[in-house]
Amino acid sequence: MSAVLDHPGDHAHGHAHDHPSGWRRWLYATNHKDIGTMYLWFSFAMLLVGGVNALLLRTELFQPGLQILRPEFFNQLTTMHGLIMVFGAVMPAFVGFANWQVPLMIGASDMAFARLNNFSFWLLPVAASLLIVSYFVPGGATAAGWTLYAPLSVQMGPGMDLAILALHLMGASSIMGSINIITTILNMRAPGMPLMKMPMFCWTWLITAYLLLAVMPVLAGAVTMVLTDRHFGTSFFNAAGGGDPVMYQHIFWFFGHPEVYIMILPAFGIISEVIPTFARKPLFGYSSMVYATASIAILSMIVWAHHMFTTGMPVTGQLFFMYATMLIAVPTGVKIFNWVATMWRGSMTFETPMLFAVGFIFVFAIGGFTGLIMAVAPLDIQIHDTYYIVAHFHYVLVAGSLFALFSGTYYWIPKWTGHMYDERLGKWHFWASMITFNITFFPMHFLGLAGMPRRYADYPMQFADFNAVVTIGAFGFGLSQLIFLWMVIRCIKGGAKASDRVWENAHGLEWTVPSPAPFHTFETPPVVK
Amino acid sequence: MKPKRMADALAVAVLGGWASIAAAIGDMPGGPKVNQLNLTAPVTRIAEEQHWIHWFVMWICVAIFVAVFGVMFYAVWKHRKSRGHAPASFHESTAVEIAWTVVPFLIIVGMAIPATRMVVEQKDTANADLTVKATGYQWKWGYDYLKGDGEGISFLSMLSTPRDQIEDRNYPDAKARREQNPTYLMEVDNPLVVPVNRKVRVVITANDVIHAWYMPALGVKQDAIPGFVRDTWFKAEKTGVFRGQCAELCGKDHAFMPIVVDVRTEADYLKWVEEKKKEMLARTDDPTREWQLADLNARGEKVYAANCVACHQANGKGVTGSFPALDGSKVVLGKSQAQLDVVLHGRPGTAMAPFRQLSDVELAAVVTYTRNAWGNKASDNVVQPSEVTAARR
Amino acid sequence: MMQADRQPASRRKAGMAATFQAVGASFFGVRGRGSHERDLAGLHPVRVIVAGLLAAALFVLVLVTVARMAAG
Ligand code: HEM
Ligand SMILES: [Cu+2]
Ligand SMILES: [Cu+2]
Repeated sequence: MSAVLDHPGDHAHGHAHDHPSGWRRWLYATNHKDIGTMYLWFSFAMLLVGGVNALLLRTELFQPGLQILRPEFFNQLTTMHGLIMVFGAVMPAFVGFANWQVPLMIGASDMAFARLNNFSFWLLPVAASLLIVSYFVPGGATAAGWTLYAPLSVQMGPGMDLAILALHLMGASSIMGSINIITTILNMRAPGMPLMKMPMFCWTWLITAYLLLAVMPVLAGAVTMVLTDRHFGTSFFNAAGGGDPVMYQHIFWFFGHPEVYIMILPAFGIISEVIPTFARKPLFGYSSMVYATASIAILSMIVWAHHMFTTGMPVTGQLFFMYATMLIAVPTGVKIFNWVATMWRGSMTFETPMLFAVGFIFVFAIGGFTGLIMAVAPLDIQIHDTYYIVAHFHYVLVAGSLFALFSGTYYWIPKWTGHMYDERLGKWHFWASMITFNITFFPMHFLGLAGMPRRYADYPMQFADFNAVVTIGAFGFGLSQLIFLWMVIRCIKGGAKASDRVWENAHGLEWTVPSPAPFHTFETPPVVK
Repeated sequence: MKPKRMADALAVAVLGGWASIAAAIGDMPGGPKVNQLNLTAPVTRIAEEQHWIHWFVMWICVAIFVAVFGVMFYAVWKHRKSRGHAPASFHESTAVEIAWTVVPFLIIVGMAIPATRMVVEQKDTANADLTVKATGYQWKWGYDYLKGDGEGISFLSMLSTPRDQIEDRNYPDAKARREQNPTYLMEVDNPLVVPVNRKVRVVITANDVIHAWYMPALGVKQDAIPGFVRDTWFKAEKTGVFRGQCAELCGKDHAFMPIVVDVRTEADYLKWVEEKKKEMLARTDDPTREWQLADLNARGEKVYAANCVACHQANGKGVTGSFPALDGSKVVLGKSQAQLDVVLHGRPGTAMAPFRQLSDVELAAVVTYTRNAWGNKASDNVVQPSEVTAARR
Repeated sequence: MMQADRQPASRRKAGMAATFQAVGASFFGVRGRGSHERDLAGLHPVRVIVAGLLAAALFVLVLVTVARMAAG
């Protein structure tokens, strides 16, 4: 397996020990830690870009009336905010974690395919540039929503073509990344580490990678059909030519629902690493969690049309997707029970990773409950496409995925940099994020129930107060993330020296290597007892 | 304290004593209340049931939430290292896990049973007393009465809030004006009028992109899909004016195509039908008559303002990069046949939709108008309705 | 036991019943560690995939039937 990494006679990619420095180190990077670092910085940059988009939207929505944005530009911003956050920020961040942590946690010397890894990463900045450039082409960026529903997406200008191209690149990047992760996990575990002893984070990523392989090509298919409808005279989604616009939605959501689990399963993995460490107690029901994750992955492929209850499906279809969606809430909910049982009768301390993990459980659960409420089809008729949905998916994606990413960052950053982060800054970051997050997103439930549709550039006066509150919260949340940036920079620059184990009760191979983790680790595989 | 007053207080507290904009204007008649917290007050049985099931599911969720997080925060409080709590070492209990999987499953079955009944009821559009077709256009709604009293009535329904209340950039006193308008953005020129206590089936489709016909008080939301018809129904149990909005992203003016339903008593409804029919009769234009340039222009300006101005703008200059200018456009200055073609069939793959739904006179008028307005002086400057009739074939 | 999952696939002997039992546990989402270890040692990966697909199809069928009956 390590043959993939160092062919002794092959000079083209140099011997592992004379790694290049300067810009070459990054452009030609094949080391999983360097690539992981690049993924993490890239995704943080995208988080800021997507965040600026969101703050522009919220500024417009601070008051009724149109103040700073024309509605067509407003729609471009909502669309780009969604695309950038999903494909630029959250997904690459998890791949960054996988790159850094999977080899360290399974005792492998690197990822299985080092050059492929480099390529997967460098596709992303190209895709991101396409998206950003699309703002400046005639007609601006695509304004069809991140879901790119046809026929609206067929109406768009060239910005749409750039977005399609960007999605293809990001999809290819994810597929290559997944192949790499699957191969690494299946073939490069240290002797003595059977799958059933593998850390939960690796398990969740393994299952996620399979999900990615299954559904990214479906997204590519959907957007390619839009492309050919736009330029090559096909009518996949055009009724006049025998096509069906609703078919687009079926294809998109067949990708889209597993996609939301792609963004949450690795988060479950991170939380399942952090909680046992700070509860000083092993994860409760490890085996069940593995099985439940597999079950979520399978079920996630048969619930897609719960995004389409208002398209006018037949009764049977409506019922099928309602039942399946309600069922998937069970294994998702059970995970929460497992974490709580892990904390029960532990000996807990609350450093920042644990704060974010506990915060995650608490706030993610709210998102899970609203998911259950929306799964009730006759009720979803009321709340579909309102701010209620916006509240739901920010509870699961921001308080879910993003908080887990923060938790993981605080947990492993001492290993990455060799320094302890500033605990005071971490606590500030947590409390500021937690409070402003809820100020931003909780009132959206009320707005949605009261009937305010999503993706609206302007709204009736009666919605004014909650919208003002939401905007204030949003700026608070945005600013809170600067604390995080400051914490990371300070931690890289210096700080108390981190020990190898870092946390008192941390278990796992990553804690057996020095802090910071040297450029090469586990060149001879460790033996797990 | 009433929940509504609590919400106001909360809003004011968070805003730091800042005067509540929403409270100043008051509830919208037939629309959202100031800082409304829950679903809109129901006017149909379906909407009432939605309220019920929302509370039902919510209370179950709240109960589970309190139980689970009660346990968690108890542990967070008691089982801390700083309180000297030593860790236990248990890490598995198949019995417990089976229990906490089976119980939620049973709860979900309990939720699914009433939900199933409601789905079946919502989908049952049979035996309607009145059938109306709603068509979504970028960015307005069209209504055609297909069956029942009023059959044959047909009109467009457009946002009636003037732009000078909306666009602060172009109208410095827009804010002051909208703050006097309690139905801001949820008012139209011609509401859909229906009789009370009658089952109304709404057949829904669209002309260009997907829209959604959303009426919170009636408990109805149905996507309008171009090239397909879907249906839904409601039976309003109260008279009054009720308001909703387009719920599916449909382009630039997505936020500006509201829906207003005016529910009247049977007698008032029939009176309205009479009036509407008379009005339509008076308004039917004779497409075979020869029209004068001045008349066509005058009529065309109105048609333009209602249908074209959103994209091509009042000055005919369009929006650079998005919507082409008509002022100086080759198509407008060229042969009328080519322009009619674009107007009748749209430009597939762009925001230019077909406008076949307009009458021959309206189309002739608007085409003539564009050929003479702004700097345009087309050689072929008068287009007669009869030419449109011919072009349609 | 430690190297259990490294056994060549051809030597894994668990039968169809055990395979379906593991897949069923996966759908249910609960499995004790002991049975889990047995699964990993004995199950043949290809069989697990086949059983998984079959079980998923069965699951869909059952749900469709329930939905049809409920729709009346
Ligand atoms: C308990 C589990 C969950 C259930 C039952 C559930 C259910 C639903 C339903 C029914 C909708 C469609 C609502 C509508 O449009 O009318 C929805 C939307 C959504 N959910 Fe969930 N959900 C769950 C968990 C999650 C998780 C874990 C994520 C991601 C991390 C997620 C992300 C989303 C997103 C992004 C949307 C909106 C997509 C869009 O329309 O733009 N959900 N969910
Ligand atoms: Cu979904
Ligand atoms: Cu619309």
